[in-house]
Amino acid sequence: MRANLNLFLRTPVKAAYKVDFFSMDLEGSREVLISMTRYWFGLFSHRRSDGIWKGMLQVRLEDVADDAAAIAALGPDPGEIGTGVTP
Amino acid sequence: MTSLRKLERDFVRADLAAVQGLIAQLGDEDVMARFGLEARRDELRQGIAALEALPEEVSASAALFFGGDPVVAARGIESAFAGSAVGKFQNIVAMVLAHETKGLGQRGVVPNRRASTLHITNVVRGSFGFLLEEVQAPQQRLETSLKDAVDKATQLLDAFGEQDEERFRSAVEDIDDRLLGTAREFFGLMRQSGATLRLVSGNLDRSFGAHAVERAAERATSTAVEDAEEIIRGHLSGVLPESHQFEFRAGERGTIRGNVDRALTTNQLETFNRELVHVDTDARLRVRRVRRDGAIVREAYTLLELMTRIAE
Repeated sequence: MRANLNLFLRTPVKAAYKVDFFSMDLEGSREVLISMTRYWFGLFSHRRSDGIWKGMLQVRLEDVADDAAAIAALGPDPGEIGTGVTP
Repeated sequence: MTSLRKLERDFVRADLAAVQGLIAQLGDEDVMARFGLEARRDELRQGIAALEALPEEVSASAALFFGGDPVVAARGIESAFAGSAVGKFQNIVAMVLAHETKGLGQRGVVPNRRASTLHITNVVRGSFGFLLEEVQAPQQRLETSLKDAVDKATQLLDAFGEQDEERFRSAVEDIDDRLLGTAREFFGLMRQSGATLRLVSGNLDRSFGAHAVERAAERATSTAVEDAEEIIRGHLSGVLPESHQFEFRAGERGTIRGNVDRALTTNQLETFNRELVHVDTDARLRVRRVRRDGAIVREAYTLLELMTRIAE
């Protein structure tokens, strides 16, 4: 993650991909996940001036071919390099 | 987005408080969430800084939100009620502006009515509300700005809903019966229609629930303001020439304090202090009496003239 920090920060992501980016941990604390859902939903669900639904788009990301391409692009896991030998 | 800065500031501050609350909730495992929330927090902080850096507002604006019977959630408001309520608010503003500039006659045309014109420039959500703004050309501006008049009008209405009776009486002391009459009409309409109200102008943000509307309407009905001129014999203790205030010992009535009419110049007041202190004089005073249910609850004096008495 440290090696690819720019992929997790809002400003560089917005500059590179023209999207507003906020990340969430699906495997973090459940209570935080609920609070965050409540907050982002409140912020993005309706237009403030007239209460009209803005709507949210759900994009599924579990595409095996995409995953393989992404792993290839990232290269080997730095944490695993040099740890392949067991006594 | 409204152009009423206070609403905008309150909105961003509430958002920032929510985000800071979420950040405080995060643990070590919520790394990604922290990135997103901190980015949002920084954006909101910049927004607040930008709002605070704006120059002071010079144009008049006020937001009137209505709730209760005439309103169907955020969907709509009864048109007759809305038109009447906004019209009555506009009347109050016109009278405050006239009161602060040329003076408001007992009856007849309200001076400068055109200059007091506010336009409905937007509807605002949260019950159902209207944003009223000054859109007139700058050359029409008067010495007392329409912004001051709108702020004073909302402060006056605020005083009617105020729990503290003394604060209400002191606010009413500065107005006349005609202005009081428009406030009476405004709150009468609110009560009769079963409406609730929220008023935002300048830094004032006041909500009138059903109890506050009832209290305001009752006060507006039971209060009367009357002006009378009286000549009172006594001795001047002194005047404050710059702040236009006086103190006058009036025999059995005790010491009378109040403002000096602005028609008397600072030089004239300095002459009073040199020549008329402790001299037997007749003071011509305007006495403003605030009555509640007929009983006098407050008297305010304005010194109009001071005449030396010829020794008897």
